[in-house]
Amino acid sequence: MFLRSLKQLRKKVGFRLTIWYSGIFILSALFLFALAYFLLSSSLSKQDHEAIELRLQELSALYQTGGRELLEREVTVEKKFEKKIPFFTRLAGRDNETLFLHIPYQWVEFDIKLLEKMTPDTTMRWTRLPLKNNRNALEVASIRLPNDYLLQVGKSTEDREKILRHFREIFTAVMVPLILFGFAGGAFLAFRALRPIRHLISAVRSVGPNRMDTRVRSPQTGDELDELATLFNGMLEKIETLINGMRDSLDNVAHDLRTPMTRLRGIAEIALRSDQNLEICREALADSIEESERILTMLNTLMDISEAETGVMKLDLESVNVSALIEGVAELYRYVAEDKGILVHTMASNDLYLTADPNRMRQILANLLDNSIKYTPTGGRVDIEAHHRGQKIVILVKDTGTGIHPEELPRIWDRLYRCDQSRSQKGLGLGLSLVKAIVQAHKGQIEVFSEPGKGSNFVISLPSNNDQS
Amino acid sequence: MRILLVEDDLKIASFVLKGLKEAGFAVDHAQDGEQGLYMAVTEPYDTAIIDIMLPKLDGLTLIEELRRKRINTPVIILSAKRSIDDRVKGLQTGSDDYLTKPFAFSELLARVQALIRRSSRTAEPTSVTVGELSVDLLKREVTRSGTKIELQPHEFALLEYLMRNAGRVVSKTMILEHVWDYNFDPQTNVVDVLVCRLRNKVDRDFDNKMIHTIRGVGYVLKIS
Repeated sequence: MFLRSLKQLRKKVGFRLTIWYSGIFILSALFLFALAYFLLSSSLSKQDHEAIELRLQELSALYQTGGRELLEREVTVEKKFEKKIPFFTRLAGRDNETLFLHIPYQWVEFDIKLLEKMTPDTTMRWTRLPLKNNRNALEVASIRLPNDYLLQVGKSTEDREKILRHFREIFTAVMVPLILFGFAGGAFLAFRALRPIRHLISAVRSVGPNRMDTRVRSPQTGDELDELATLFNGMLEKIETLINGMRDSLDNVAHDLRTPMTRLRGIAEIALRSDQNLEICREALADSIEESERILTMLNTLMDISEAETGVMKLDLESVNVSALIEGVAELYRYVAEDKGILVHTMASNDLYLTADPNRMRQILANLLDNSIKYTPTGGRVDIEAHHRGQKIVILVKDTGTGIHPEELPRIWDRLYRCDQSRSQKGLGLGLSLVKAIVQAHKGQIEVFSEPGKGSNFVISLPSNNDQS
Repeated sequence: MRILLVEDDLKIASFVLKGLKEAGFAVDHAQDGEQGLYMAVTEPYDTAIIDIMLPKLDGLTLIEELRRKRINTPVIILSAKRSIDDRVKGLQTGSDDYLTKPFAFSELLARVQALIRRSSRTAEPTSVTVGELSVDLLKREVTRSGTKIELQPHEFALLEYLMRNAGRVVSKTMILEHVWDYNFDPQTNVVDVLVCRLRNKVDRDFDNKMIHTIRGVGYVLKIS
């Protein structure tokens, strides 16, 4: 049970972060202490050695001037004054037999006999005389005197050891809270660092089929986690748009298809009830086909609109010559306009290029032109123009038609909204919604300026394709 | 002319079968992809009509398999999707066609006939005559009972298309595709207007009308 919960804990990023952080923190603290300890210990021993050597030189000089007597006197005098830093002094004969020995009372435990047994070093070398049950040792430096006698000066490492021991004790005392602090700090940092992720998790958890409006709180720090939160919000937004789009279009389709479906059903029912009059039946069948054709067109258009609005419309983008595009659409409507006595005038310079789906562009221009011709009386005029405006290409479809009432202007883009309430002109009421959706799918904008009785002016602006111009 | 129909929906299959037989074709029907592939490989067909969504083996794989075996029967792909996806685009050769469900039978028939005509490579006629109406395709001249009729380019293109398909119904979509090279429904009466103009020039001054409207389907040019 415990092991399992430990395993679970190990899987947590926060826990792993804490362990790593405190591990590195403790290790570096250890390293720093070790370094300081080493430096302190070596500097202390260097200091001791220098003192010993200095004393050795001093005594050797004394011996050379005044012989053994002077040496002994010096040492005895010093002993009387109880100098702060006592030295161990030994004078040995040619066979390393002790001739004179001075050993401060605090170091009497040292076994001096050991020194006699050792073959004395002629060069200046250090001899360590260890002490049982203790880390202390007597460090002894030797020098050969001109008469081949041996002069030895030494010092216990006791003081040094005391300082180092003290240092170690401090270290141990400090290390325990340091480890605790390291762990706590690690946990705190991990907690802090993972906070945006926890927000993310809770936000994701709260996202459900009915709750798409949740957003991750961005820490506003401009770092990677901030970016993650922003990206994630962007993704949520996109999903929300998609889901809402789907839901809306499903609702719309269901709603909008009910009417024509009812008509279709009605036609068939009437035909069935009429006493098998062949002519009536044929008429009804033709009506049914027309009605189903209408349903299909409606369905396709609704699908197009929702695809364009949700950004999943497949656009076959290519470089499109605007002038050719406009000419083509005008050509399509030439006879329609001619029959109605409307002049369609196009104006676009030949060097305008767009990156767009040519079929979709044709479709929206055809829709706009279709509207303009529908609502322009005989003798009127429709202008299609295109020109550069800064980084944009602007396409205008301008007519001298009936215009749109200001109250109706904002609603013309709505699905199935038709200004012409009498429905004297046939249409689905989807044309402008589709135009707007496709323009937006091309990252463009569409605006309308209209005055009742004077005409309407639809203005599409699209990003231009500079590399072609 | 022999046609293979690979379609799993029995109602659709039966109305297509009936219609094609009435139009004088010999039609075989396969209900799933594997059977369709077997039949297409073992029997020679002039055209195959293949639905994309099929049990056992989907339509696209079937066509890929056929092409791999170097069987180049022209294919009409039937799909419930409106946009032609990339895989279909890659598959389509010049002799193939694409039709979305729901479709008008007359349109399917016209496309089948167009495919067969294209693949049999009959020599392009220089003139077409239907009854008292005749079109000289080289000089681009139209005469009816010896009277010359002046037509504008689109009107001529429409008449030529109707004449070549004389006796067969052509849909508005097909006219849009053929005359303007547009493949979307502009939701408008562009085609009606063009047909109306053509009628005024070709039919108005004559008693027996040749261009007929088939409501909900399209137009047909025939000797009445």
